Amino acid sequence: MSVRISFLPPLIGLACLSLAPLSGTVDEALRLERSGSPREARQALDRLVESSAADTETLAARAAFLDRYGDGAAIAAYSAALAAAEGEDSDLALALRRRLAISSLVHGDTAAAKRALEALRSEDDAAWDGIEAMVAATETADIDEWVDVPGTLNSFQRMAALSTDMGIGEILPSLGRTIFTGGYHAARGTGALEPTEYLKLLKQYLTQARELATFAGSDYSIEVAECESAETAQLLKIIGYRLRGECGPAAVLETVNPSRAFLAIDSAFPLADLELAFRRGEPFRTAFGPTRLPLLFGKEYWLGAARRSQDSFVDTFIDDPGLARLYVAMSNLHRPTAIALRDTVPVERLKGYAPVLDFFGAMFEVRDGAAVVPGGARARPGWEKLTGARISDGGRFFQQLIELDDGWLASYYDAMARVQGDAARAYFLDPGRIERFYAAVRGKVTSPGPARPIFRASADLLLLSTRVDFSSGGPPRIPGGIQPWKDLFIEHPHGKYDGKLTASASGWNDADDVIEAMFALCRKVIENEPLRIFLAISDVERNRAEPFSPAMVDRLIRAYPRFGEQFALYNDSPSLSEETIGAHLDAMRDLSKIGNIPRRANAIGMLQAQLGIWQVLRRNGAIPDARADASMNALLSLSLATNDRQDVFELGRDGVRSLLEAAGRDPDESPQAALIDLLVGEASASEATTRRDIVDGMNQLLALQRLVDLDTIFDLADHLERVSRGEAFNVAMANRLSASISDIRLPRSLLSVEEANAMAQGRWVERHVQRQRSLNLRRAVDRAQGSPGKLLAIRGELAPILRDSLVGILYALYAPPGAELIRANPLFVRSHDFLGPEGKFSWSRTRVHATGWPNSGGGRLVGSLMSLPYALASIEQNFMIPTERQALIWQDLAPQMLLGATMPRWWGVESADLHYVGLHLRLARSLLAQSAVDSGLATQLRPFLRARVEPSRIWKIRDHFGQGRVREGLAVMTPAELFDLAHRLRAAEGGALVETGEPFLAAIQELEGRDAERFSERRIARQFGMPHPRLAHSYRLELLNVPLFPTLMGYSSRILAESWESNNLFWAALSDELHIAPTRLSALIPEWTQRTLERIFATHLDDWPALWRSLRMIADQVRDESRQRTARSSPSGPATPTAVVN
Amino acid sequence: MVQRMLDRWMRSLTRGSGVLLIALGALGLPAIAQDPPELDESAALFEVDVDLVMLNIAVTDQRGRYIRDLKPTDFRITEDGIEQAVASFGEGNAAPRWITQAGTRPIGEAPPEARIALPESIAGQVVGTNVYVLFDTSNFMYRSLVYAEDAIADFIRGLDQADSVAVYSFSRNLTRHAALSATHDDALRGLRRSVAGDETALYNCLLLTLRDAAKVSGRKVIIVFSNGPDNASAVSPDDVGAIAEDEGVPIYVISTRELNRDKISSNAFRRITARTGGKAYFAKTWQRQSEAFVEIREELASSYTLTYYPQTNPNRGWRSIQVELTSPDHQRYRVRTRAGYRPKL
Repeated sequence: MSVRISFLPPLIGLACLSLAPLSGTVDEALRLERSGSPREARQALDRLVESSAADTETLAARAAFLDRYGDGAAIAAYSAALAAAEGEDSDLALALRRRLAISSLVHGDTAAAKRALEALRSEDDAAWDGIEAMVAATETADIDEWVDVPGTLNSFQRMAALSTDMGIGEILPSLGRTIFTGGYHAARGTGALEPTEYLKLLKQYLTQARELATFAGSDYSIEVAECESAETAQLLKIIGYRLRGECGPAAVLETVNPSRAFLAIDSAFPLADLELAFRRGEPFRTAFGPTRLPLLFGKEYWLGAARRSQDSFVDTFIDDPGLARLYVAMSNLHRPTAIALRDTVPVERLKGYAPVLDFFGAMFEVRDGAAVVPGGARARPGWEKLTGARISDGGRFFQQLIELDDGWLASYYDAMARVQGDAARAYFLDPGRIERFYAAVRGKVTSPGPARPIFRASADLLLLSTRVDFSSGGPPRIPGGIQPWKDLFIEHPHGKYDGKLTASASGWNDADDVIEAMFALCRKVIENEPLRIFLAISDVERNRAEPFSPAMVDRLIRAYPRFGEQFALYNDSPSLSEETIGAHLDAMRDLSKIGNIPRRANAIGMLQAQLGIWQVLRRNGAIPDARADASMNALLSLSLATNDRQDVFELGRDGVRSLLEAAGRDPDESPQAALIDLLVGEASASEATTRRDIVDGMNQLLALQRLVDLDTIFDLADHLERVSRGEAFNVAMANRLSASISDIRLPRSLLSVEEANAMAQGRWVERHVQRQRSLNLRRAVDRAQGSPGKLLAIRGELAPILRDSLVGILYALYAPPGAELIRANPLFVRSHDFLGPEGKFSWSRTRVHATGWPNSGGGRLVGSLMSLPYALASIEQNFMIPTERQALIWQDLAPQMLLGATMPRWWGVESADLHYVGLHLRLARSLLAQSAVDSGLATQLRPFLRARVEPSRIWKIRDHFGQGRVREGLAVMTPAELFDLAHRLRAAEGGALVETGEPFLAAIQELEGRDAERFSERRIARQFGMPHPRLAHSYRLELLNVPLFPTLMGYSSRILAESWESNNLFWAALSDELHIAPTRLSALIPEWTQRTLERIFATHLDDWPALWRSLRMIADQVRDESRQRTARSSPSGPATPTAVVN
Repeated sequence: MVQRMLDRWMRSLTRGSGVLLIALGALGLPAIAQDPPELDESAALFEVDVDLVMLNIAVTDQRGRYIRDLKPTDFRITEDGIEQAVASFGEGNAAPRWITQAGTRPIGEAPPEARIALPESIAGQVVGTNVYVLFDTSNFMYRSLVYAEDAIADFIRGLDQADSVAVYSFSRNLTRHAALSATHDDALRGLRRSVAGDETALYNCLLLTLRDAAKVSGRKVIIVFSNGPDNASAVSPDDVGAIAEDEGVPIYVISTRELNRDKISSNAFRRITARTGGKAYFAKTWQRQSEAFVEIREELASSYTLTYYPQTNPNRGWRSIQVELTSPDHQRYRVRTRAGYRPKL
């Protein structure tokens, strides 16, 4: 068959296979794809290929299709198309072979890749220059030396608390980190380092493992031929057990030496199998060989710095936390930089600076002997002056960097190396500012240094360098200008920050002065409140059409300590007027002054619940921009009059009406159903099933909480109004309400006096619940004796019930997968404490309280509702069931991951949106894979990689590539980094990528050609980004494209999790690959995320690669499940499994 | 083959009514697969508007010895004061039987009220207890972990062959070491795979174990082996106890702490075991722990399983259950079962 593409340049030809009209049938399949039915398109192509009439064009079209969707079956499809094209169309054959090679590299099919590359080398004069090296590459890393550890790898990993998912190259660095973070503690009194229980056990295990190794002998096998033997006695003595009963069916192993037995059990010695062998009269055998681990630089190097050298390197290693930390630091450095430091600085001296290297070394890079510094040649004089070393001598330069000022210079360098964006780089890396800002950071006294704690104490430098607003493209934006910030330091309404800054503030003239002050506070041990305020207000202002007035900024600055947590409300709705924001600040202040405590709690809870609902309706567009200001104002004006309980009830009822009206709903609708409907969001008919499941799930949670629905409450209130005008009281209606409330189970009523006395906390919560239970409307109506005023006032009794119903709707909306606590504790919503200890927590973040107190009646939430989604996710993480041993990374990471999965609803997302994401990830992977064999492309990509990825990781990628492990190298990059890389590459080098970006680039351009607004980075960020309540003070979905933050202590510990922005992009690409209907995303993504979290097997708090591994593992499971479903529904049986990466 | 037939039959029921599925679960049918194959569209559908309440009842004399060989007519059950008719009756691990006016009939046949029949071939399967062992591996248990494992291993070895057993452990999170299985060697292997952990979130993990137990059919119990005190749970012991009560799962606790060492935990243990029809043991030494396990095993073999279809009762909230022995000669005996339940919403 004659095809048009034979007249086109080969790579363009592949692009055309996805775009140009081809033969009727192929064209029909591709039309299906374009119309949003990729699954049907795939099936049509499969049918065409399966038919005997399949021609080159069809085969090539199918291969390109599979490639575009990241399907590993593309390799076989390209091979088939290539076989058909050879001899028929040499240009097309060449193009196909190139894609076959790259696709094979991406999917890890090394053999297929090498075959295709070898053929390319012989066929193509312009073949890539790295083919020969790739073909010759072996998967044996360049190991300096091996060390042996007694016992099996699995046992050692269990005892050393290391993930079994990691590769052997990661074991010693991970062990080193565990040794210095958890192996020692300071002894009381002396402060000398003492081994922890963990380390003692590890040492005891090594001793036992050596005894077992001796028993196993040279063939590395523990063998016991029969139960009654000397070997049995010897083995049992080592592992601390003895036989109870005779050998045979009655044989039982029981502990005789608990210390040894514990080690045997904890290290997974197969005790049950041994016992079974004795009972069955069978021989027992288990492999017990040593574990070989690669050692960087060889033993001789490290023993030079050892405190006490021992026969076994592992013993030396675990006995010396300083050595262990240096090993970690050097392992994680950009390898040429590590070598330069090794060759420049004696190891004993380097050991003294191991903490600095460990914390701040990731951005160090020595290339061709010279240091590669942030800001390049322009910034070079600044860095040389600060270090006193020449950049051309990379080893010396970095030696100076880590040795100076107790690590402050290295920490500043690290922050400056992570600055993102041209404007920010131009500003911060200006030679004059480099020195000026560092002088501010350094101060006069450098001790204590920033590397003294086990974890980084502060994220301030990183936040300052990555989150200051440069959106104008020029200097940093200072909200409200200089004056409010001068006033903050001069008048210091929240307390004095720094005497020197207070004195100098009156002389400030420009943005540099404010930024300099922020830098100066970065080294304070105390919380850097001015920086928090500055970033919070900057984030609120960032998206506003009009900047804040200086007066507004001044007001926000002053309000921050009490009400700062609520600023996210303004951020989620940037069109709010200053008047409305001011009214909100007033309302918060006034409500806090209500003297009657239950009424204050009810009024605050009521307003917060309504504003929480308003916030969701703003985010999902149910309340349009045009009505944002008026609708919030309406809620706030209602809160002005809360003089009695009845006012509080009216605040709630009128607020609901106001919300429904703002969202354009019919006033006659059921308010309960309408609110839930609005909150879940508008979905298309095809999304109806998923949406109904979500609504049903919410209603079930509300029912389990025994919350009274709004319709019942409002009907009763209306009825009471009519009763006040003379209508007879409807007892049945009142009974309906009473029945709902009296059914509340009160676990605390079962507590003993002693337990009840131990519960001083939360007594207002108790009263809140008791008050509802004791409500007797009939009696109240009787007591009113027909007085209209008294009858109307009875409605005030409904205020706490209404508050709980509104709060409950938000709890149900934000419920994470499982929602165990909401399901298990019927008082969970009613127990929300809006006041907290001393009534000081009404506007603070939501906190989890009273967990771990069996006498507390269960955990509950305290504080405002602003961070309710995070708090709910945080409490839920303890109900997850890890598939592996417990993952240490969870504490801060899991809630953020759950938040990203449960807050968004993916209504309106189409297959093409998923495809747009998938194409970008695959484009980046394809280009990186090609760069493994194409040095020209590698050079082209380097600056783009360097702008986002640490040099140490770039080196790892190249190292994997050098060993032919392209798939593993690609896995070093996160999905968010890949997406960002593809975007920036296209923006900067789009024209130059036409050939190398096939077949993805043409498909991306085709989508953008359809709808440039829809298919854009901004829109994708809103669909598949993550919420960043700490980093961006907002729950909107965004892609901030910040570097991955390290583990940090205290306030900023959530920042690492928020800098991980990959999950939803990854799930979008996976859904695209498997042709999963986007209508199911709102159900599937929370489920996949939970499975991912349950599969994480992390070793330490910085172990984000464990999260990335877990994502890939769950994706593989989802692929298998999808394949099985397809096989069940396909008459031809299961498809061939393929190795795929996404 | 038998299991496949049972699965098919059970799946057909799930199409029509989840209620009867629960009902049959109460009768001691073995656990069905967690991930059943696709539904057979051709399978018959059943609409059965019934609910069935199952009671595990231990009867002891004044010295705590178990009283055996009682008959269905020896029991009188009331729910919120309304007398109930016993629908099925079983003792220990023997196959329970339906109680009809004409006498008893094998449980393999469906109850007359449901008007359906179980395949004969599965009649012999409806025996045994599903035992969930929940084992504390938190820091508190570190020193005594190996002895605890030995005691649990002895308990598992001594279980009736008809019993299925699952082994879970907990510290801050739950770990499923061995899924519910009639192969006791799997449970022993799982037990020996446990790893010492950190904080103690007993009630969180007990709740998750309950959720698992609630998914399987048949008689089931949870045995908690813990040193306490809980220091990480978000859910309260009484909320967990209430759910266990609703699900009809007796909880047994073997606490390795002395009774008065931690009164709050001890009281919590006593409350949740009492309201679910289980029992709390405070056994500091491993010998006492082994004795407690022996007693639990004896109770499983000696207790009675009664079911009834509740008479019309307008109460949608908590319903109290009372079980009495009818014979004047039996009035000196002590009857232990769950205190009540809440119908599912």
